[in-house]
Amino acid sequence: MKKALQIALGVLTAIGGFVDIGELVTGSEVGARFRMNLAWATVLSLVGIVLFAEMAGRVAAVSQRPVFDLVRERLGPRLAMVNLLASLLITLATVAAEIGGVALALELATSINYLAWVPVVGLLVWVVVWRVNFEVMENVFGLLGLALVVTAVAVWQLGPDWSSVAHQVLHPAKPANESMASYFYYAIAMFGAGLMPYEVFFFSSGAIEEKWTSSDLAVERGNVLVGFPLGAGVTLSIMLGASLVLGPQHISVSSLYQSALPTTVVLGKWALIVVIIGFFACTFGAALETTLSCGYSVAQYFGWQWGKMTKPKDDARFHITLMACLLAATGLVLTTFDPVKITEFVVVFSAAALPLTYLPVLIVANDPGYMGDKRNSPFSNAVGFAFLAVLIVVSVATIPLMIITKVGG
Amino acid sequence: MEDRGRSLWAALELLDRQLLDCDGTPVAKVDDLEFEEAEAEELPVLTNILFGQAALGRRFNRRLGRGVEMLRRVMVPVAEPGPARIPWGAVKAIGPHLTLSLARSDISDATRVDDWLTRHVLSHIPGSGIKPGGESQ
Repeated sequence: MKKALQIALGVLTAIGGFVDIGELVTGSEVGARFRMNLAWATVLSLVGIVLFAEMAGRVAAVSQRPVFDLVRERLGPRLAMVNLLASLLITLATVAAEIGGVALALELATSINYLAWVPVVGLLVWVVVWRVNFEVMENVFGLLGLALVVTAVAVWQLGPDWSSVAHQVLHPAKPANESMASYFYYAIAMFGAGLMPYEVFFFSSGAIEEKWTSSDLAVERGNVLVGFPLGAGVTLSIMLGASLVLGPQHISVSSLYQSALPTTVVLGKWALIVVIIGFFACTFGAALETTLSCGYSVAQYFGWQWGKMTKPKDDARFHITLMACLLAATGLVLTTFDPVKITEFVVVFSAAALPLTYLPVLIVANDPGYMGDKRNSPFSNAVGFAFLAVLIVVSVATIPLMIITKVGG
Repeated sequence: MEDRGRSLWAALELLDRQLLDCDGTPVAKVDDLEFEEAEAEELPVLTNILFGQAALGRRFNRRLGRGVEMLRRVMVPVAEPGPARIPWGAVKAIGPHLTLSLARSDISDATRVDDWLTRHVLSHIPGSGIKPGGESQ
């Protein structure tokens, strides 16, 4: 019974971890422009995050080694520093985008300009990181994030022609008015939105904060195998909603309001309230996760004491890093950089930066010295290495596609 | 040392590993290793683990390491402090991490920066549970 409860709670966590500002913005944008012809990119990112998070969580539970610890050990100080700087830059920009997302959700609710909300949100995130218990934090935002299931209800109410949806999903084709380069550029964006590096930093470090061991592997698998697919389900409903409502009207997505539109058009005012709660919860939850991930990766690279559960006086450097990152991110949003634009960049670079983080985890997950009999099975290795190939192709293709399409065209 | 007689590749199995204290608390990374030259035809002997930004800086670039060492001299008032070190004899077990027989609180080089930040920064922030001056409530 206790196990079931733990899985249930972990599931909620994973929904909040998978669905964030990246899915809300990119999912709607892609749905409006490409209908369901890029659903495969979300499915591919789901396979990737399940593989990656499962391995990273298992390594953390069995050997107590979080992801950036492995990165430093396997890549050496120089290459790991390159990875640290790249990941930190992307994650910091993600913190900014999520804070902007929370502020935009509050703007939707109150009609007060989002910029006025930004400092308030920054302060709130800090208070939660500084004072609130880890499990309380995860459960509150996970539960509230479930509000986004309303997007699936909306799609069901819209009553799409399911056979044509299935055709787009199973036989994807590039829409006639889009170029091949844009099609693949947005495929990478959608893929990156599901596979942001912070998700894995947070999942593996969280496993250690919650003191998981080998005996918690069932819970760990449960979290990954139920939570992330549910998150992908929410993402696909957002995409489908946008393809049914925004696509035919040729509305292009440039604000969070448009992401909420399909749901509110069908279900009315009460649904707008529910959607705003969902947007708020998943972006706020992700703002917490990204902020913590900045501190986790820096502390694990240098070998510092770290942890939200540790007394601040014992890991002062970790807590100061968190504050500095939060301050920098809040400052970035206050310069009036559009959070939606920041998100569009972040998701693309997320996909490009992954191989250097994925490889050390894949290698250590195979090392019997660390993992004993809990190391990768031949099946997960086959899929794991195939996915490494996918990551490398994506990583190489990103910058050229960005230049050809002039950032998505 | 319970691992006496096992052969290890220092660069592969020691460098860049996490150091834990006797209670399992993270202390630092093995940022570098110090060897003592032995008699002719004998292998050098591993004497110290070097850690902290001064040791790490040296691996990136000799000048950078020098610079960090100078900074360290400001905090540690000794003529030639060099990078922080822990004697190899304090290592209790070698595995995915290196476990020490010391407590983190007894390794002043490992806690110095945290202590300084606690006293001068965190103690001024509400909710830290630290009185200005560094004493925990």
